[in-house]
Amino acid sequence: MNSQESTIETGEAQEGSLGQIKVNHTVVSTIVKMAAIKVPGVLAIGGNFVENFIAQISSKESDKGVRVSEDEAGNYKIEIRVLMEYGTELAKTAETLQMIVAKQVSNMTGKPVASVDVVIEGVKMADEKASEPSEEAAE
Amino acid sequence: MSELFEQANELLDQLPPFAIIGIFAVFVLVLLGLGSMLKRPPSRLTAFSSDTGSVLVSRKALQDLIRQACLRDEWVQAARTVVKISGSKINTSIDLRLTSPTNLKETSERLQSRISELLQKSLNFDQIGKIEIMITSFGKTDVDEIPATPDSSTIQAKDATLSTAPRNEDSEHEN
Repeated sequence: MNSQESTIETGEAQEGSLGQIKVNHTVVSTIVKMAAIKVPGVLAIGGNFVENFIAQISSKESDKGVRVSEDEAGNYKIEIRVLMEYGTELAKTAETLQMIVAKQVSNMTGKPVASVDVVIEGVKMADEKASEPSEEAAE
Repeated sequence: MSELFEQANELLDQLPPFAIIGIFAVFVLVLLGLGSMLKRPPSRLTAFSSDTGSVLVSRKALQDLIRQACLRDEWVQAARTVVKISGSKINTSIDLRLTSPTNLKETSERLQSRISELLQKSLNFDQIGKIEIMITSFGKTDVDEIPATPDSSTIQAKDATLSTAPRNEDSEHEN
């Protein structure tokens, strides 16, 4: 199995079953981004300059700012780097973000989420962010 | 293994002394670079951890947050912040350009309490160390252009350190 792909169990493997469903980590990271950007107070998703640059040249645009891995039990471990809006309660927003992302990912993939680590990479005014080309919105 | 050592020895014998010194200097520089990289302070601080995961804040985010808090003050024209994380404590130093030299102490004290309140409320940080404020200029002079003068004076404000540099008349005339 590809390390970028996770498998969703669709019941015991037996004759006549339709087979396994595989979800690529890129898909999970897209779900994470789409869920995260809707959280009030989150301005953008994105890592640091080096990470963004690597994502740019490796054409893995959708992975930018989100890292998806799995623990021993096969549950998702998610790390998300965000840019937050000045004036919001950062800790509260991050907590909301954790819950929303975990809920959305487990709802859409049917697989539990072990942890969602949020890294606040920057704080900006809402209008200031619009003028920065390096930090992209998830859409 | 011994052959390899002999080959290396022969190679060193063939090399001129300045090349050996050069190689040695590069080796030392690489070691120093690695050492400084390992000694670098952590660039992230854990705000809290729970069953759902951890929330970490980067040094840049803290600097952004503090800078924005300063810029919201009506007397502050520009601000440059440096955050140092030592253990779980945050030490901040801020260079400020104020609109006018009046209300120096009040502005600095107000900013200190605002920043400490912000870090406590927004990120649940209770380990707030020193908040050093350095007034570098007034008016339109760029904060980045003015170095901190060695004859700057320091006065104690609450439990944090407040430093004020004397007004830089020359640079103000330039602008």
